Parts: sequence; C-alpha cells; structure tokens
Amino acid sequence: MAAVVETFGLTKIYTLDFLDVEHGRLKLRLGRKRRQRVALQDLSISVEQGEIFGLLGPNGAGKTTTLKILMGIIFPTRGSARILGRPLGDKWAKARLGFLPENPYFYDYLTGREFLKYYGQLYGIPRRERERKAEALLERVGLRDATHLPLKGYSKGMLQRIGLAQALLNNPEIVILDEPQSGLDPLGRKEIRDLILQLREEGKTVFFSSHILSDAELVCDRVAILYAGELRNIGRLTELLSARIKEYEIVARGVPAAILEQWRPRADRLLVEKDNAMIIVRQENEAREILSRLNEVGATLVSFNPRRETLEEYFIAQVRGGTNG
Amino acid sequence: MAKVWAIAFNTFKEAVRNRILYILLIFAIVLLLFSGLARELTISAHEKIIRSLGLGCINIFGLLIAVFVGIGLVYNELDKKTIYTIISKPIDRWQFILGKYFGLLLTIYVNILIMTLFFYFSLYWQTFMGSDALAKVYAAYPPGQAPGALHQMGYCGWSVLRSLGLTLKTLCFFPDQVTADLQIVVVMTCLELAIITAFAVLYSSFSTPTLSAILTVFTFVVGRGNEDIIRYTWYLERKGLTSTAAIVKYHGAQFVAHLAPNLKIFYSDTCNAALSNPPVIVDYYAIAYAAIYSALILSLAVLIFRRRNFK
Amino acid sequence: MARRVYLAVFVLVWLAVAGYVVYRLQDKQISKLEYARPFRATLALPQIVDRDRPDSDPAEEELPQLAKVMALGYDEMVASLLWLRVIQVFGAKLQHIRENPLELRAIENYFLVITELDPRFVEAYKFGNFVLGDEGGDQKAALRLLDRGIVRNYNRTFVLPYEAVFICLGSLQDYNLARYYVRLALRAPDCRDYVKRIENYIALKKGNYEIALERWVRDDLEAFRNRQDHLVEMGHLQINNIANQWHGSIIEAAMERYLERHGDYPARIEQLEEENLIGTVRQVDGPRLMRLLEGAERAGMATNDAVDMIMGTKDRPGCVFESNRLPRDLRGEAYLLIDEAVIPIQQRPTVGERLALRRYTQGDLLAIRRRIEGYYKANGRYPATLMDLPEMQPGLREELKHEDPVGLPWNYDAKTGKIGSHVFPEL
Repeated sequence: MAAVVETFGLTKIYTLDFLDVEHGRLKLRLGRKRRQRVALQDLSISVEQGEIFGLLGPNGAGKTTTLKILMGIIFPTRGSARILGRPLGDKWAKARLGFLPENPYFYDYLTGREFLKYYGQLYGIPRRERERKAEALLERVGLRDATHLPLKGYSKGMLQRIGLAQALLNNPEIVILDEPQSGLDPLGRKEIRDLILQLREEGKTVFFSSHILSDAELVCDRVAILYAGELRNIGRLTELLSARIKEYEIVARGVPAAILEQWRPRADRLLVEKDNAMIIVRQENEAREILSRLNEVGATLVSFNPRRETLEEYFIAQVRGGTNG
Repeated sequence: MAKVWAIAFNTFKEAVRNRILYILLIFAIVLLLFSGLARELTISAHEKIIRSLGLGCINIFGLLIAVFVGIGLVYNELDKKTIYTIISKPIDRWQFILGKYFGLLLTIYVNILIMTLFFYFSLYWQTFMGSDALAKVYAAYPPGQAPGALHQMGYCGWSVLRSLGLTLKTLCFFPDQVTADLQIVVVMTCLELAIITAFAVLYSSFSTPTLSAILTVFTFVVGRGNEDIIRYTWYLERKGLTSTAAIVKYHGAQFVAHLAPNLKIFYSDTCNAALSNPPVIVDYYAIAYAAIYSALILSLAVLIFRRRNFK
Repeated sequence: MARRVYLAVFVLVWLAVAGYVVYRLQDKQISKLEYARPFRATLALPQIVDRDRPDSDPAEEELPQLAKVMALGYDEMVASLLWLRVIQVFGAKLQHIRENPLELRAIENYFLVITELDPRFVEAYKFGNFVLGDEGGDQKAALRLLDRGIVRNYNRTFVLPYEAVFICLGSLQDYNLARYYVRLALRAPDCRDYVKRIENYIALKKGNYEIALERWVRDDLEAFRNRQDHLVEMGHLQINNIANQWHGSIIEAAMERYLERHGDYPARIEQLEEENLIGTVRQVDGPRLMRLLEGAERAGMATNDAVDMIMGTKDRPGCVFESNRLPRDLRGEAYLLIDEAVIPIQQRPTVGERLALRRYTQGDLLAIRRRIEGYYKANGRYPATLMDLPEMQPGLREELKHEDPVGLPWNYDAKTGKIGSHVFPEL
C-alpha cells in the first residue's frame, strides 16, 4: 500500500513578540528560548492509501497545525512532507485533495449553489460539470432545500455539511478533515461517522483530526496520538489497544444480598439497582467463579461483558505517562 | 487565467456589497448633478468650474473607493479564515492576489463608469437646458408667447434621450464638442487608480486595515508630490549640501522620489491640459509606466504573500 | 528543485528589469521638470523670506506655492472652489476692502493662490483687477496681478494687457507703459481691432498730435473702405478733436508768452498773431484736410497713397504746414477766446438749429436779466459773478441756466451788469 501522506520530521516553532499581553498581563520575554513556542516537534507519520487515519490529541496538541502545514496554510520551520508523492504546495496533489477546516467560515453572501460553483471554478472544473456536481453534492449532504439561502442564514450543522460538500467537489482521493465533529449534536456526529465510512467504501483515504476519542475509535483504522506537539504513539487501533482483557463486567438478576456482600471485597466495583447487580472483576478466574455461583444461588445472568481497553483509557495513560516521564 | 478571473469576479461581488460604496457613489452623483448649480454661483467661466469639479470628484471618489475597499481586501480573508478553503484548492497564491487586485479594479472601474455617465449626462443636459438652446425653442413662437406644457415636457424628454445618446457615444470614445478631452482624463484617472490599488493590495497583504489605509493615503500624497520633492532636492543642492542634516534630507528625498510613483502625469497633467491648455496628447509613456509600475508592486505583494503564515 | 531555482532567478531578473525601467522612466520625468518653473522654498517653511531676494514679498511667493503643493494635484478643482469662494467673500466684504488694507491683502492672496493653481484662468485676473483696482483702490496691486497674468498667458489673450492699458492711462498716467501694453495686446491672436486705436488715443494724450492725426486719417480711410460707417463717423470726430487740441495747445502756449510779456491775458485772440507770439509752428490746414480726406474717400485710393497725399511727403506737402499765423479750426473759422479759454467755433450749431437755439437763448437771457435787475434793486449793485445770483445755486428749482443752449458760458460783464451770448452776440 502506498503512502499517500507522509511527513518527515515536521516541526513548527512560533516566534513570539518581545513584549506581549498574555492573560491580561504584560509579559516580557527575554532570551530566545522564552520567545519560542513549539507547536509541533519532529512529526513523522505516514497515511496509507484507502485507510481512515485519525490524528488525535487534546486541544493545543498540534493537530490543526499539522493539517495547516499539509494544506499549505502555514509553512514548517523544519522538516518536509509529501502528499501523493508530491512536495507540499504542489497543485497536482491539491487537485486530488479535499479539505474541510475547523469551524469553517465561508463567504456570507453567496448561496449554497453559487458557493459550490465558485469553488468548482477554482478547481478548474468545466461549467456544465460544475453545475451537475453542485447539485449532486448538495443532494448528498442533505442541503437540497436550502440551496437558495445565502450562507449567512446557515446553522452550524448546515455549514459543516456545505463544507463537506466543497471538500468532495473534485472527487478527491484524499479527504482531510479538521475536527469534523466539533460542535455537532449526536445525530450530526453519527452522520459524519457514516460519511467517513462511506468514503472509505468509495476507495478514498480519510485523514482527520479529532479530540472526540469515542467516535474516532469507531471509525479509524490507524491513529496517531499527539500531545504538546509531540507524537506519542502511532499504529493500528487493534495493535495499540492491548488485546488483553482489562475487566469483566457481569450483570445478574436476583442475586441474594448476602451473596453480593460476599463478593464485594473481591470485586472491583459493585453496583446494585433494585433486582439487578453489576459486578466488575479483574481476574478471569474470579469471573469464572462468579458465573458458576450464579446458577447455584438461583440468579439469572443478564449480561457478561469482557471489556478491553478503550482508546480513551489508552490515551489518558499515554498522556499521563508522558507528563510524568 | 480562468481562476484569476473567478477570484476577481467573486471579489467584485463581495466589494459591491460593501455599504460604504453606495454612500460614496450617491455622494458623488449628487455632487455631479448639482455641479450645474455652479453656473449660478460664479460670474463667469462656469464651464471650466463644472468640468474641473466633475473630474476632480471622479478622481477623489475613485481614490476613496480604492482605499476603503482595498484595505480590507486581503486582511478580511485572513481574519475571517475564508482563505483556508481557497488555499487548499489547486490555486497559486499569486493567482489569489492577482484575482483580488483585478476584482477591486473592476469594482473601481464600474463605479467610475457610473460617475462618468452621470457627469457627461449632466454636461449634455446643461447644454440642452442652457439659455442658448432654450432661446431657439422660444424663437419658434411669436414674442410674448411661451411654449405649452406639452411642448415643454416633450422637449425635456427629448433632451434626456439625446443626452443619454451623446453620453453613450462619448463613453465609446467619440466625444462631442462639449466633452472634448474629458474622456482621456477619466482614462488617466483609471490608470492612476490602478497603481494606487496595487499599493492598497500590497499593504493589505501584510498589515491591518487601519495601517493599510494610512500607508495607501501616504503613498498617494507622496506620489502626487513627487515632482515637488525633486524640486526640493534641487533647492537643497542650490543652497549647498554642507551640514549632515542637509545631506540626509537630500538623499532621503531623492530615494523617496525615485521609489514612489509619479502620479502627477496621470490625472493632474491631463486635467490641466484638457481644461487650460488644449489639446490633450495621449501620453503612451504614462500608460506604459502605469502598467509596469503596477506589475512591479503586485510582484512585491505576491512575494510577501507567498511565504506568509496565516493564523 | 531545479524549478525552484529557475523561479527564483526569474523573479530576481524580473524585479531587476522592472525596477530599472521604472527608475529610468522616473529620471526621464525629472529631466522634463528642469524646464518647468523654479520652485521656491515652500517646504522649508521656517524661512519666510528667501535670503537670495530679501526684498521679496513673502506672501506673494510663499502662500501660492504652498497652496500648489497642498492641492495634491487637484489644482483646477481647488482653483474652482477658491474662485467660488472669493466671489462670495468679495460680496460680503464689499465695503471693507476699501477701508481696511488687511482685507484687501487677504483678497489679493485669494487671487494669487487661484492664479498660481490655474495660471490660465483668465477671468480670475480680470476679476482680480476689478476687485483690487476699481473696488479696492490699489491700482498697483491690480497691475501686479495683471502682469502675473500676462506672463503666464503670454501671447494667448489680448484681454489682460488691454485691462492693464486702462490702469496705465487712468491712475498711473504713464503713457509709455500704456503703449507697451497696447503692443503686447496687439500681438495676441484674438486681438480686436479697436485695440490698435488706443494707440491713437495715447499718441494724442502724449501730445504727438501729428502722429495721432495720421493714425486717425488712416483708420478713417480703412473704415471707409470696409464700409464701417460708425467708424468713419468716429474717425471724423476724432480728427476734429485732434485738430482742436493741437491748435488749442499752440494758442495756449502763445497766451502764456503774452502773459509773460504783458502780465495779463489778451483781450482779443488776434493780438497773439499781431505780436508774433505764435512762433513758427506746424499746424493743420483744416479745410484742405477735409477736402483731401473726402477726395481720397471718394476716389477709393490705396490707403498708403491717400495718407501720403493727406499728410504730405517730403516732395509734396500735405495739409500740415508751418506758419506763424493764428491756427484755425477744421472749417477754417477762427477760435473764440472766452474768459481765457479757447473755444472752437465748431461748437456753434448749424443753421437749421440756429433759429430754435436763438429763441431759447433769448428766453434764457431775458430771465437772467430780470434776475440781475432784481439783485440790483435788492443790493444796490450788480453781482460780481453770475453764481452770486441766488437762483443760480444748485439744488434749488433751477430757473436759470448756467450756460447757454450751445454749452458755452455766458458773456457777463460784472461792471455793467450786461449779459450776452457768445454765439448770438446781437441778443
């Protein structure tokens, strides 16, 4: 599988002013070190063709910086990157990209259709095809009813959708999304997830950044975790998250209280609600024992759930590990 | 380049929504139409006054539009981050700057066209409503009788149509005797504004609107006063370059005068020739100068813009 | 990588070439400037008076130059606005500019600035001349303004030197300067033909009677040839005028000599000739002049030949001759000596009117005589002058005329109280 996006030691260091106002107070920065703010430190990742790649990290980790560098909005201090084998800024590569920035802001006064047709002009798409594509995309993102409304009147969700439409205008091979789910309601988030999966079905590569780890876990093939500008870890989800089962979750009904009290010290957590009891244990033999005892005490098993590590837990562990060591 | 034109047209559409444009346009049109009032205020030479006021208005308002719309041109794109999706398209940064420039130029030229239309119309209208023309109308009637209401309205309507026709003819560079050399002055104004717009785009590409406005106006003032700066250096030379202050002033003034464009050759000299020293000779050298200088300034703007990190 | 290098090289070359071209074009414009007017030290504002010319008036140089720089290239527009303004200012300050010299200076500054911004604005100079000269009373300032205009509009319009002529003739009484301006006006392409006749007037004023006469004879013949009747009429009037002034000056010079000799003016005009006080002077043979003129007009001679014939060449004399006899008017009649003034008899009316005028004169004389009798009865003596009569005072209901119907003064003898008319001495 060819790498469609590769970065080699991408670094971005911002030089701040001598004298500045920060947090409402005047700050004097003396010395070169103090004036530099490292946004991205030595990032080397690669995205394979046809996969969904998630760039994850908390706010301020450098995700948006990476994407901006890839799109040519800012320039790296050191390092380089290649998209589809071409260097940054190459127009051939850009013609095969689709980009949706975070909190997109477009020209207020254009209507949806005019907006897509204008961007089609920028892609160099001929006129008839432009109009056709604009219609098709508006249909696809579900904005058919609002085509004649100027963008000023769009809600956040609608703006996000038209942003996706303009990203897909040229039928790109790679779709790059910066925090596509920010500010959306759960329904919107689901739609985005479905869209990303759909895009993979079409054979496109999706490279997006997010801090909503649960959603990323559902769609991503590979992830990279960024913290404070540094790459913490990168790899397939299945590889990163240990296959080891972390804990067992048993939900049973009708367990006598006495038995529950017996199990309480051995269990990690014990929750009782009316008739149901949720027992969480770490060890497998403990779980096996409880399961076998259920029949004896006349309880019914409602559910048995061996839980593996979630991405969120992994992430927090990584981050904490990083800050500590 | 189709992409440059796409951005230019979009810039034009955006600029047209800028409300300050309408205020300036209405102001200019009112000023032009009321220039006919100048006839009542002056004891003689009213043609010259009307023409000089009209041409000056067109120039000043074109300049104001260039400054007020041009300063926010690139800055607003960056500030509102609408540029993110533009840059991610297969389009060069220089195409973007050029598109912005031509869009602004289009806006200015459309406004100048409208103002010039009103200007010519008011000039032609005054000839049809002037005392000589009206005397001819009255001459058809026996003395003491005035034309009836219908005839008056008909004459007014016919004058409006004729004025419009003559205006359009003048705009296509077939001037009448009344507007003999004025079209050339307007064309020179457009060339001058091409240079100023290039400066506005240049400043807008790296600084905030307020600073851009100050710098553009400053450039305009220095450009218009270029000849006087040169003369000032001659004056210093005549006085003798003895003190360091004089030497610094001399070289500084020379540097500024060579750097800044000489804007007097466009509107100023042509207007002077049109109103006081006919005939006006078309200065092809000035046209070439405007083209090359604008290209130079735009190149600078492109160079600055190329390596600029957007927030 | 190579593409980058090419691009960088191209950009550098383009910047260098374009920059160089712009620099050369700038230099070309600067070299054109060298033929433009010199610029005074406007931008060095603290130096109010230029040390090269310590007697220069600062306002005259500084303020207009400063305005020109401040106008930022909108010269004509600012000039138009200031023009509209100065008309208003003049209307508002009409009474003050004559009294207050500062107000006049202020208005003068307006005109200086307007003319500096738009030197071809001819009406500004004209109106400025009117405001400063006629209304403000400062003819010298008006002449300065007109000079400014003449320099800046040299050989373009006759109007400005033409206005200057009148200032010279009127308040300055400088005839040579007036002639200079007339010559300037004549050179302009739009000069009217009446301008050249001002030179005739100037010649007359200077006392060059013969030259004036020749000029008017020539103009008269030209007018006759062009069938300009009003000019022919004016020509005849002016020739008459010249002859009377010429001969009047001769007679007055003789009278001064008589005064020196005898201590008093003569009683009769013939005494001047009898005592040979005229001297050998050039004078005009009136009737001959009129005959030759008429003949030349009718014969349609070429103008130069006609003038030669009338004025005379060194081979053939014209109508001007030298003599020590008493000169006579164009009709050949003698001049009247009335109260030390020489009155040409041509002012007497022609026959047709004579009878009516005789009647009027009779009536006037009767009325005055009655008043004199009344005065005599009241005061016991005759009035010393006619103006002593109360009825002669101006302002009252004028019953008595100060002059006879022709316009000559009454012939009044204070000792005898007798009053008569010069025109009708028999009354």
